[in-house]
Amino acid sequence: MSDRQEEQIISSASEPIVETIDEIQEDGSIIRKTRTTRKITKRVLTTTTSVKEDTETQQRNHNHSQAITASESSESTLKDLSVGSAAEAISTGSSTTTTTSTTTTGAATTSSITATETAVASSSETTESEEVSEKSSTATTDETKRTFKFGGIFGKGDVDNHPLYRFLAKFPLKQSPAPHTRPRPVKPIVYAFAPGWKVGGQETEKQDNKDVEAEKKDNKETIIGSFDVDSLKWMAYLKFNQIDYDIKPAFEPTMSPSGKLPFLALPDGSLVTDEGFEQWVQENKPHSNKSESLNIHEAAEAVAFSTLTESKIHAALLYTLWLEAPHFQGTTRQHYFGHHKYYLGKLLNYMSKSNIVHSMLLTRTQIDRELIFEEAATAIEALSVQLGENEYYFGKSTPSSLDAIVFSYLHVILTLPRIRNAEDGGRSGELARMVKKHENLYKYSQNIWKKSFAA
Amino acid sequence: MAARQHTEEEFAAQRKRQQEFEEAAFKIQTLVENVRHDPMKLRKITLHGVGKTREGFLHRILEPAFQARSLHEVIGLSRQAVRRMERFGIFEDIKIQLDSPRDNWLQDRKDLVDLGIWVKESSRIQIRTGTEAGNAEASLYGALTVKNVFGGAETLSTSMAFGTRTSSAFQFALATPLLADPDKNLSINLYSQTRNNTQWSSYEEDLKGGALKYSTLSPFGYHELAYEGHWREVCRPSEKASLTIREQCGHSLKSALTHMWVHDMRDEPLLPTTGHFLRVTQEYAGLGGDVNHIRQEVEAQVARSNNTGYILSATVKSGYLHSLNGKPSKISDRFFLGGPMSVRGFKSNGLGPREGEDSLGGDAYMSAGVSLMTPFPGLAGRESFKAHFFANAGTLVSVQPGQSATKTIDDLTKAPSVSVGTGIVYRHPQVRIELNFALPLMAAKTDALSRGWQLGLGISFL
Repeated sequence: MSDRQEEQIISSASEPIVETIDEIQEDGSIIRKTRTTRKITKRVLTTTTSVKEDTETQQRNHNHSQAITASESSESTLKDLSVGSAAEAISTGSSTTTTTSTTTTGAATTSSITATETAVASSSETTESEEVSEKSSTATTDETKRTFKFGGIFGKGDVDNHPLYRFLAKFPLKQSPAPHTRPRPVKPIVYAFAPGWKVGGQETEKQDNKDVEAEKKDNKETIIGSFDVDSLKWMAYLKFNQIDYDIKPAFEPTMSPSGKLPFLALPDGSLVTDEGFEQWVQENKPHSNKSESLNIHEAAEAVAFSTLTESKIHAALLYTLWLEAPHFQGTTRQHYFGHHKYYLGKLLNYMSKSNIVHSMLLTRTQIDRELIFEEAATAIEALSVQLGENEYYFGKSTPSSLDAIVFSYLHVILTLPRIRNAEDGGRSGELARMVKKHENLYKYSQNIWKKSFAA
Repeated sequence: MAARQHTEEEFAAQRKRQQEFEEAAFKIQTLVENVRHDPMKLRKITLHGVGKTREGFLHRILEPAFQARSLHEVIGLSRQAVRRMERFGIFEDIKIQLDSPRDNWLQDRKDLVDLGIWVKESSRIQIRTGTEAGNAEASLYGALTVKNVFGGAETLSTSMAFGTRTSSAFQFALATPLLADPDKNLSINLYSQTRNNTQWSSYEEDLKGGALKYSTLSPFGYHELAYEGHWREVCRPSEKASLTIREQCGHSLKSALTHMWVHDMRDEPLLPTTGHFLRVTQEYAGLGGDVNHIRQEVEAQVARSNNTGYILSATVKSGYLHSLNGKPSKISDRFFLGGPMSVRGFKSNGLGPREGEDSLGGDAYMSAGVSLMTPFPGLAGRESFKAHFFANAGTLVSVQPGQSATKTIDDLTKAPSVSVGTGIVYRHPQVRIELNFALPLMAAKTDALSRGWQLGLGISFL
């Protein structure tokens, strides 16, 4: 009888080590560094098969199991195991051995099971470590490992081991700390058109409590609200979902990755724009039981109403702000380009106006004031009817995304400064009048402002 | 025998001719020598071949010649006037002739002489296209130049360039010499250009503006005084732009007075072997506009060489941007440091404050470089190839408005970025090309290093 003994034991320890180091810099700021070291796990289980001349035959099978970090490869090895063990069990063929082989196969299977268990266990461990390392690698680390870009010049293989690169890696001989560090934000920052309706040196009619409170707050140098519909929509939606945020006033749409303000700067360095905003809020809102979600019908209606608002009322608002002289030369220029010098602001205002007109002409053949305002009036009436006497849309006790959209439009319309000008015959206030006709919308907008912003 | 005689005769004849020639020249010379200081003045200057050039302009150029009082002065001042005319670049060919007056009643006046000038005006319109290489940038340009537009050697030029660093540039310039002096120049420039800074700072800058410049030569050097008005927009940040760069996006207006003084005593600017060079630039921005600052830059260079082809040169460059209204500086005005033409061993604009992969620029910098050029082994005969050993150092820091001067100086000196290296320098007639192997010895954590080989192509190096 042959005596097969194959013993191969190769094992290397592997553990992911996560270190968090806080370094205090010379200027007082603290840099947190996360360093993750992950090594490849290799565990090899060996069992030797020895067939002796004794009556009792013990057969153990070779079991090589290598638990490697990739789970797929571990599966394949397990398959090999099962095939191999079965083959080996069959190869030793004799009646006695068959019986024993069954047992041994049983043993083999159990051992293989244990092998799989351990293999699975080890692979799962390593996958966990992979996740940890991936997460830490996405976070911005201040690791100063400098890599070589064109490593392939000196041939393939491990770039960092080439003697030239090993030599070069010694330089610089002395490193000094970074000259500029921007403290990482703690809360997400919304870059939005801000502040709200505090307009310097222009006649603003005090509209009930809204402006008074806004001005009071602005005197204390806090920024609430925004004069821009999209920015206010984001702020309202974040407030409804109880997400804490900082506001940074921004007036240049080009600074945003999508070309439109507002956008969100997260503490980990990534940016969220229009497309991913709602999803991000849903993912990151604090989970609480009292948030009521809309059912299918309500969700569909919400989509319909928000589309209605964002097309009809938006068009009327754009018309009022950009295409009618009183607001265009005063309010809009002041808000969007007030921080520039006067003539530059005027020039940029005109350039923006031609862009707006161009975008409006994409969806209609001509810009007809009567039609636009008629459609806006119908839309406002529909919103008013839908709201009824409820506090929020669909009778919920907490506001939804539709509330954010409708509120932002209503608030911006209602807080447009009233231009006392005989020239335009009061046309500039037409949109505001249309909204005020519906008491419930007026109260609704005030209510949300008081609850979410002014409080 | 006969041939030999023939050549001997020729030789003798030649010698005789030469002798006669020398005697005649000697005669004229003695004649002129004797007459040199005799009273003589210019009576009339006649210009032939002038079409578009203004009379008043030419009168101004030639006016000083009338002050000659002797033959010696007549010849000297006429030559000077002609040289001035040549320097304007509007004449292709100038010939002069001094002669006694043709008029009959002046036949016996020995003290009057007439000057005749024959000129050929060069063609007015010139169109040039080509490629141009500057400091680490190459561009394709087309230019239309109209010379002598209004008859007084004014130049009108319109040019268009598309390049690597300046992605598009349009310029319209009208330049005129003042007071018929080719050294004094007044020009109006209008330009619109886009600079592509995505590679080191992830943004592009649109610039539209104009400048009114006056330049002159004085015994101290070249002066240029200008008023500039710029409308700049920092826009189109790339995907990976950092937040600080994004916050810099926007429009700004700059209305500034600048002055530049250049004192250049080097033998040539690309690879100087002797001499020194000093350039001082100041800019005061604040006459309206969004930015209010003083920007100062100083560059000095010294070069020494010996006869065996070893050249030692040292350069120092420093700049400071001081904000006058308490607001932080804008990225369009800041300084950048680093690169194959600045501190070698670091990536282009790689020193100083950085965020992520973006270079933010700084408000104060100091840099110095020492280079030793030696004859290249194996190419010792060729002067344009040199082996190069250098050491460069530089610091770029940002200055908060209201910061004390001691803190700025402290920041500048406490942690310089130093590099050494060696390489080859090739001096092409238009540019200098360097291939260096650079090793940074000291660097800040965020500096973008360029260890190893680095290629530099340009005109002014550290």
